[in-house]
Order: sequence, then structure tokens, then C-alpha cells
Amino acid sequence: MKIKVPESRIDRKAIKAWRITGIIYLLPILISLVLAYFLLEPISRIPFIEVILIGFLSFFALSIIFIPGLRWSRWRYEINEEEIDLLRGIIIKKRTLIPINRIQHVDNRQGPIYKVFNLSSVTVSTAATTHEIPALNDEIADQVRHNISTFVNRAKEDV
Amino acid sequence: MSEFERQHPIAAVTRLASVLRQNIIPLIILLVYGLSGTEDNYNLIAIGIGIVFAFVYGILSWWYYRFRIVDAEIQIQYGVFVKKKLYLNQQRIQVIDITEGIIQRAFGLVQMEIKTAGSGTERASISAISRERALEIKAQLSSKKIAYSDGEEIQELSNDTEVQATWRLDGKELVYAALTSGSFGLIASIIGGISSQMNQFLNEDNINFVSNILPGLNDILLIVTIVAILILISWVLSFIAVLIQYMDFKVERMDNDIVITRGLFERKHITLPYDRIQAVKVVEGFLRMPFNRAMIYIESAGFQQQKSKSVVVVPLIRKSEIPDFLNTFLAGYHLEEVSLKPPSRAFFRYLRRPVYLPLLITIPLFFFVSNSFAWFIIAIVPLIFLAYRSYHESGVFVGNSLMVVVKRFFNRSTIMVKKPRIQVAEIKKNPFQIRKNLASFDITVASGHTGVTFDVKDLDEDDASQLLKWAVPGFIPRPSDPE
Repeated sequence: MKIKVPESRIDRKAIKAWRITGIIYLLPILISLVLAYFLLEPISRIPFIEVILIGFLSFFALSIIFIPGLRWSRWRYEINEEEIDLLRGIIIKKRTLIPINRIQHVDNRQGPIYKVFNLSSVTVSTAATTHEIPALNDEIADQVRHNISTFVNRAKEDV
Repeated sequence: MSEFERQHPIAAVTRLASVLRQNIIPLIILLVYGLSGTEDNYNLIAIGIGIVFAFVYGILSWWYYRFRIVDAEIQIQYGVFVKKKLYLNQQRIQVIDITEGIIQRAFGLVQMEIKTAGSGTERASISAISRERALEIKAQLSSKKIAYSDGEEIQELSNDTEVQATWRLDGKELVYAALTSGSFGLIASIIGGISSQMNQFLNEDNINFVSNILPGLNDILLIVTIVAILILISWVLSFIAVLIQYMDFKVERMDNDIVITRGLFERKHITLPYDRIQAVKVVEGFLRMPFNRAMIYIESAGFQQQKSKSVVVVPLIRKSEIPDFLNTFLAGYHLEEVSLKPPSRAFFRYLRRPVYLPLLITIPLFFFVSNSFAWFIIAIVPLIFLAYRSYHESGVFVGNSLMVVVKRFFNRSTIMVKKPRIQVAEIKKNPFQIRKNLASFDITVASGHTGVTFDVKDLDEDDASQLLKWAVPGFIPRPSDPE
């Protein structure tokens, strides 16, 4: 018996937002590496330094061009009266079930880049762990947070 | 309205002692360096100044620490530089612990800790107070005590604390426990670290001297001897440590709590409310397996200050006595045969798993050190054997409301979790597992402030999905399921 896979996806704008975040984080490192290679003589004499640099470059390219798209396409979530169901992972696929009545609080979070794209993430905390559904449209994020807290209240009343 | 009172002045000394204890490792390092210095003993002077400061600080923090009881609330004002006020209402108080430390004992005093529940755990600690006053405060704070159980419901707790059952660790078992504790590895590494500072003892003269008395002692033998002596010393130390820690070990079952009392110099009374227990863990240590002995731990939430730490309920028990013990002290938890095991197509994945890391580390050595491949093979054989045992013994049992997870590598752990205590359940598949229709399953329960995760690797994908569904309240077991 297979259990149903969650269906909701996160916002497509996530790809752009993640790319920009990636560029902001990685570009300074990249620039300083290249500068170091051209300006600092001892560094350019390290054996295989070109190979290492090209390795870094391709890692950056990968993580900015391909990873965000893959990450987006692999994210699925679903929220219902019994559980929160998360499915994600580019290489290692992770499926997480959080029983609704174990949830202690729900947050919406928005960083500066998410704000530009009107995105928010939803963070769910249990007594033991914290889980994030990233990059939802602001309205959907509000809706999701509201739904979760309604379900939690209902579940608690049942008990 | 009662007046503010101070602790017994001995609190200043215990404060100093606790500061020293927290900084024990830097102190030892400084001492060793200080003694190895030739003329200038700046390190020793620095230690001296440090101790004086700590003592002055101890006195000041005793002076500024004042508390009083108003109605059913304990109000504490403290802080040397930053003044703090801590008011704990009896409704929020979860546990009151009384500890007799060595210093306190000498003066007929006790230490009292008042702990509240919840994620922002606050703790009030009165470090020296007369036993009578402590009991008085405890009575004042716990009269018609109301406890918050896990949900929002409020339930009345009866105030009578009648002991319903008692379990003691007898002397012979304590000695066994100390002999097989296995913590000497840890102590050995500490001693090794310290002894690396002792270069002055390992100079050429001394080595020549030793090899003169013991002819036929070559370099390798010398190293082996030193290692053996180190292990022996640390074994003795860990033996003594375990004896002191678990001396006169007693477990009592009260109405709502399980109470653990232990220790030779420092008597600890640990009170664990039953509704805080998240999981029970039976661990058969590698050295204890041949003797059919095991240790029992409890994972509890909102109780410890530390991040996540299991509480030892039983330092050593015969395996045959475990079911009885669980029945008496931890109702609802029982050992079960695992019913869900990794399928045979996972066999080689289990065998390979422990090999990867050593392989990764030693691959560079293959090119530079002769015979290293042969050594690698020899080293890997016991790991493969352990992996083989792990494949055979790992698994899960699922009952109506109890899940039992068995894990094995050096030790065999049997973890028992009640369904409502599962915070999160998860399955993970990497590409190799997907190819073989396998998945790893894990559950997380709360422990201390965070969580602790238990997993079973490489189960059949459908079985793993079933387990995932089981962990969620709405799931109804299939007719073929046990129970």
C-alpha cells in the first residue's frame, strides 16, 4: 500500500529568489578567490590551483543555475486535519509527517529578498524540532499558518 | 508578608566550588603548564588570582541572593552586576529537587532546585539551606499542587507521596556495573591529552632507563605497554567514578512520579513526573552483553537544563528482570520482538555502511604506506561482523500504541516510544535506496529542550510508509498487524 503523495507546491518565484540569495552569498567569495588568484603570487603557485578554482566555479554555477529549479520542483507539502506532510530533497528524498496535535507554534517569516517577491516561509515547531515550508506566496503563507493553527486548536479540543 | 532571607553563608563556598568545577579542564591545563615552567610561575599566580576573584564573587552572589515565600509563590532577587528578580508561582512549578552535596552535607544543609515546565524552562536554585527549611518550603509550595500535563488540561495531583514500589541496585551488581561501564575510553583520551603535556617524563634518559631494566623492550612494545597502562589507569578511574555516582542507587514509584536517589558523596534525588516521560531506552553495552546485563534510561522533556540528556533509571539489571521492572515502574512500556526487519536485499547495504568512512580515510594511505591495504582489511573485519549483527538485530515492532525500535552496533539499544509521544516521523531515500525500493525510517521525541531521533535504516519502502502512517493518529492498523 502506497500512501498518497502531498500535492501542494511552493511558489515558482522561489527559484528566482533562491538564485538571487545564492548570488548575494557566493559572489563575494567568488570575486575574492579570483582576485587572490591573479593578485597574490604564492596562491597562484599552489599545484592544481586552476583545477580547484574551476571546481569552485562550477559548484557556484550549479548551485545558482540548477539547484534552485530542482529544489523547487521537488518540494511538495500538504496540510490536513491530522498531519503536516512534507516531501522534499534533490538527492536524498525526505518525507516528514508531523502530527497536528504535536505542533506548538507556527510562524511566518520573510527576509528582504523574499519581501521583493512577496514570498514568506511558514515555520512549524514541535517540542522537539522545527520545520520550514519555504517560499509561499504571502497570502498562501497566511492561509497556511491560519489553517494549521485552526487544525491544532480543533485537535486539542478533541483531546 | 514574610521577610526576605538569605541562604546559609556556605552558599559562597559552594558557589566557588561550582565555578572551579566548571573550569576544571582549563585549570588542569594551566596547572600542568605552570608546573612544567622552569622559573617564572605566572600561570600559578594567574590561577591564584582567579581563585581569589571567584571566592569574592561567591561571597557577593551569596550577599545579593535573597528569597521569600509569599502566599504560594517563591520570589528570588539575585545578581551581582545585573539584578534579577525571579518569581515562580506554585502552579508553574513542576519539580522540586533536593540534593545533598559534599560541602552541604558537612554542615547539615541541602541544595534545593525548583524547576518549572515548558520550553522557556526557568530554574530557581537555592544552593545552601537547612534541611528543615527546605522541607518547609517544599511543603508550602506543593500544597494542593496543580500540574500542567502535556496538553492544556489541568489536573489535580494528590499531595500524598506514598512509595508504591522500590528497586535497589545491590552491591555486587554495582561492582559489575563499574567494571563494565565502558567509559574508560573517554577517560583514556583525557589522560592521553594531559600526558602529551608531560614531555619531561618521556625524555631519552628515562626511556633508556626503562629499556635498561626491561631488556627486550623495543619501540612498538613500549608504545603498546604505555597504551595498556593508560587504559588500565583510566579503567580504575572510571570504576571509582561509577561506584561514587551510583552508590546506594534506589528507584521509587510514587503516585505521579518516579524518584531516583543515588550517589555516595553527593546524594541526588531526581523526581521525574510520569507525564513527562517521552521514551524509555534499554541499552546492552558491548562489554555487558556476555553477562546478559543492560542499563535503562528515560528521555524526558522540559526537565533538564542541558540540551538533551537521558536520565539513568537503572545502572545495571539482568535482562531477565527487565520485563518485571518495566511492569512495576514504567507501566505501558514493554520489550517486544521486532516484527519489521530490513529485507534481505538490504543485507549488503548494511555490510558496506561502516566500511565507507574508514575507507575514505585510508585511501590516501594506500599509496604511501606499504602493507596499509592489508592492515585495512584486518581492521575492517570486526566492523563487518558488527554490521552483520546490526542487520540481523535491527528492526521495529509496532503495537497499538507502542513502538519499539531496536538498533545495534557496538551496543544494542531497544527504544520504546508511546505513539502520542512521537513529535515527528520521517522516511528518507537516497538514489541507491530508491533503486532497491528501500527507505530509512526515523522518529523524533522531545528530550530536554530539543529532540532525540531514533532511526532504522534500509527498510522495505512500503513497510516504511506504513510506519510513517502509523505514527499519525488517524491511522487504523491492517488486520494482519499484531495486536
